[in-house]
Amino acid sequence: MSKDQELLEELANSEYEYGFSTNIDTEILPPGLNEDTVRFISAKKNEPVWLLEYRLKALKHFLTMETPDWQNFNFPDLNFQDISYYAAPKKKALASLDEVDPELLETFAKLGISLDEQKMLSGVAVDVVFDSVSVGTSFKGKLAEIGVIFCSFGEAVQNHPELVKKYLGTVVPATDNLFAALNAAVFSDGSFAYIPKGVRCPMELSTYFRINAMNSGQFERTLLIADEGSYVSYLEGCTAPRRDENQLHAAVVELIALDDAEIKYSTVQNWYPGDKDGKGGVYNFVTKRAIAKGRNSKISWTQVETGSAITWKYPSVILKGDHSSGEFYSVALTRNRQIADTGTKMIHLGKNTRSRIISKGISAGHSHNSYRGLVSINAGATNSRNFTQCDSLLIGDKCGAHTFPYIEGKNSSSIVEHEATTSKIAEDQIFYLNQRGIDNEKAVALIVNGYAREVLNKLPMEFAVEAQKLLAISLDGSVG
Amino acid sequence: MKQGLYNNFYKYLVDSFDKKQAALTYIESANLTEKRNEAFSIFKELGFPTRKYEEWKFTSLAAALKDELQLMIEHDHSLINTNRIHSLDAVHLVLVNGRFAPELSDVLPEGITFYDTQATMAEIRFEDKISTLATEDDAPMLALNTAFFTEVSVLEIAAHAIVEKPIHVSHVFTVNDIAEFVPYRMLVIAEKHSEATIIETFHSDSLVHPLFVSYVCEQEIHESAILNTHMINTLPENAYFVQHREVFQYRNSVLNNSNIALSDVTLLRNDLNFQLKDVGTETNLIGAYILTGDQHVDNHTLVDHQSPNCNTNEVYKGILLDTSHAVFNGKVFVRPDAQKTNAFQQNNNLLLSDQATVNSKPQLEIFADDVKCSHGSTIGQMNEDALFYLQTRGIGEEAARKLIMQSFIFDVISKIKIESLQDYVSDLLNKKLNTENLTVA
Repeated sequence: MSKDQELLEELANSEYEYGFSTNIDTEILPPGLNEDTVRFISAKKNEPVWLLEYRLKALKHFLTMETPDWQNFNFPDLNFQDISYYAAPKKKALASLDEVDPELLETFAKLGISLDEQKMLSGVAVDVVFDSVSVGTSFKGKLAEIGVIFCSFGEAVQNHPELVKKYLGTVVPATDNLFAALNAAVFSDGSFAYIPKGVRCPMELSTYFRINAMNSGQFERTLLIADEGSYVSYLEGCTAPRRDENQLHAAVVELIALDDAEIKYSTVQNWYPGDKDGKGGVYNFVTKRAIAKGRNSKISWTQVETGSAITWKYPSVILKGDHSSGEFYSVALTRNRQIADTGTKMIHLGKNTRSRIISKGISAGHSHNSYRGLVSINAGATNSRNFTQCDSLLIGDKCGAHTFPYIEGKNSSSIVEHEATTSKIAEDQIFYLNQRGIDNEKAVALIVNGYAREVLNKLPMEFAVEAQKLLAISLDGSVG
Repeated sequence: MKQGLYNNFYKYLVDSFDKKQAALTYIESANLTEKRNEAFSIFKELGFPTRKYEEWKFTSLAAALKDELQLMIEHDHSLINTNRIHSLDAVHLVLVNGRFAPELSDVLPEGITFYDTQATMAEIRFEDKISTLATEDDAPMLALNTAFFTEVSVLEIAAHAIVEKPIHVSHVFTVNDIAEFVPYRMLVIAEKHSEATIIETFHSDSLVHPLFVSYVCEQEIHESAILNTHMINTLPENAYFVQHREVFQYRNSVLNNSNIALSDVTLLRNDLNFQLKDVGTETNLIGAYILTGDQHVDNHTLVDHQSPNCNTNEVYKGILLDTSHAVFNGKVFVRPDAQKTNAFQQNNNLLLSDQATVNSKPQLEIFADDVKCSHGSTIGQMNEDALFYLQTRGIGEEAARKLIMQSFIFDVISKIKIESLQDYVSDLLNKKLNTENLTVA
């Protein structure tokens, strides 16, 4: 056991590798939230009146809401008036990468995601969101050729207001929850993608989020629309610089898939998790929801969550179209004092809808990892099918793993299956690997990797590598 | 934030609390009076639970808590059906509306002692046990019972006593011409190295006016004791039954509990809490329910692993027809010190009607690492292949369906070890399946 203790300590003490901050002049709105803040943001972004009204309505609702109390952790002490709601790099509207601040480019280089390299090697179009305004967009021309719109949210509001107006807030209404309301009121920027009818997007769309300016909560808004018969794979990854003060990240992601369309949304999340005593770290309170609106539409969420002090999100699918399907694959790794309360909701409304949930939780140190999910088969969702598997792995005796699955069946032709297990890594597995000459540390890494494999396999190539790296970093020093 | 239901019945209860205390036929300890007052203030504040409470999210009492409900008063029970199970060789104890009826009960064998309300109140040993095991600050229905119960009895199994004959505690309720509310409770103490079987049946003849029963049962199972408990509900339509059961298990004790609802009870809510206080315990829980019409059955079980090396095994199975609603909430809690815990939990539902609803919530909360915990939950239909197979053997479709339903439930009731009791439950099962409205699906 002393060996275990040692290893545990090592694991707990391994520092956050991506903790550095970049010095770029940012224009910051003084902290505070009121109607003027919202008007300022809206004016700054030159938004049409309907959007300002949408924001104001959301703000009005937000101010009437109470903080939730059902989550499996103590609600952090957040003062919404202490947050600065707007921060934008001063240099704006760059036409090419050459104009991007070299320091910024270096930041990405440190993260191993140099834009140039990515452009050249992987053919991934990267829409970089640095703090709140998009400063570099690549492959836009190439995508435009086939009619794909992929731009920052702000640009979309200017250039494609009809699409934004039609779909904004239709999946996650501004009144949905506290953080969705906050986001709707003060969202700064984000990504927008529209895939036209019958187009199979030839490359993975990707955005790197990064919180940078001190005290500027980041309120991203992502809206993705896949028109009939189209396909898109979207990647989202986050790393945040080291901070001692808690930062709030309250994004909203809305996905809409029409008839025969398919959206695959992958996330690797590695915000700064706080130090080993749980000081600092990002609060990742995100509302992600998709609607499989058309017949035969398909939505797939994949997430690898290793960062943030508190991760609190439930990427969900509303299966509205007949024969539509939803998937949720998740790996959540928590250590030190991290908290993850994550899971999914599968709302079956259409006939013959199918959903699959695979959730793998890994808790180490003093962390707590919860799976919370809802599978709801409505009366009209005949012949529907759900399979859910949520496994938890415990490393060390101070951590916790929890599952709160809600299962609801309302018709006589659907089948719902749920299974969950919680255990630690079996001694005999470690022993087997030991006797093959693999030491404890590597054995644990191997077992954890194998444990998460089912989910990692669902990630696009570009992400699978980073995800494995992240798991490896998190297990660095490893465990017994 | 007040989220409770404060209806006329609530007002009636609040008004009658003081009067009721004065009308008690016995002198209760100051201790108990204090607990009652505490509980009353909890109930007074929280009101009846509504669906806004997480624990009552899927069960609404609004329809059950009728305005005309009154606290049960004295009734003649000379003609009551005591619900004796004829084939069962058991010692019969009858509680009418929660009160012990000695003239209807058998003489107890050696090793087991029964205390009726008066005797319980006179016995100083029980003073700090009654309403001590079951205490929760946020459980309004439990608080309601603690504040208002008048009848309380104790069943004590002496240390080292092996009671071979099962004890059949027959809870029967009189049929009255007003809507009544019956709160009462029982304490079971199984002393060290004892072994006993307690069969509890809940029965009433068919009801015209609603009957709302609030039953709290506290149990202590001491070192190496074995206690088999069976709860068999045979209440008719118009009965609303809310039970809270708090079980404390000590070192190496074993508890086997079965929870059978094959009756026509309108609403049944069970809160079964098992606190594993010391090492090496074993807890086996089985449950079966078949719901027809507008029935609502809600089973909440909580197994709280507070010590290492405890095993629990839970299987609940149910069939839903018509517009019925079943709720299963199985919570397994593993505390930081409860290493080497094995906990298994399973809930299977056959959902055979488009108007019926199942809410299943198997929940694990684990704070120790060296554990094996798993749960499974399914909502599904009959296996078409099985149905087809039976039909190829010349069994009609309807008969085949019944056969499949029977075997689905039999899987659970076959675990009841007393043969004659198993037969009795099988009869209940067949009776339930042979009602006319089962031809659908």
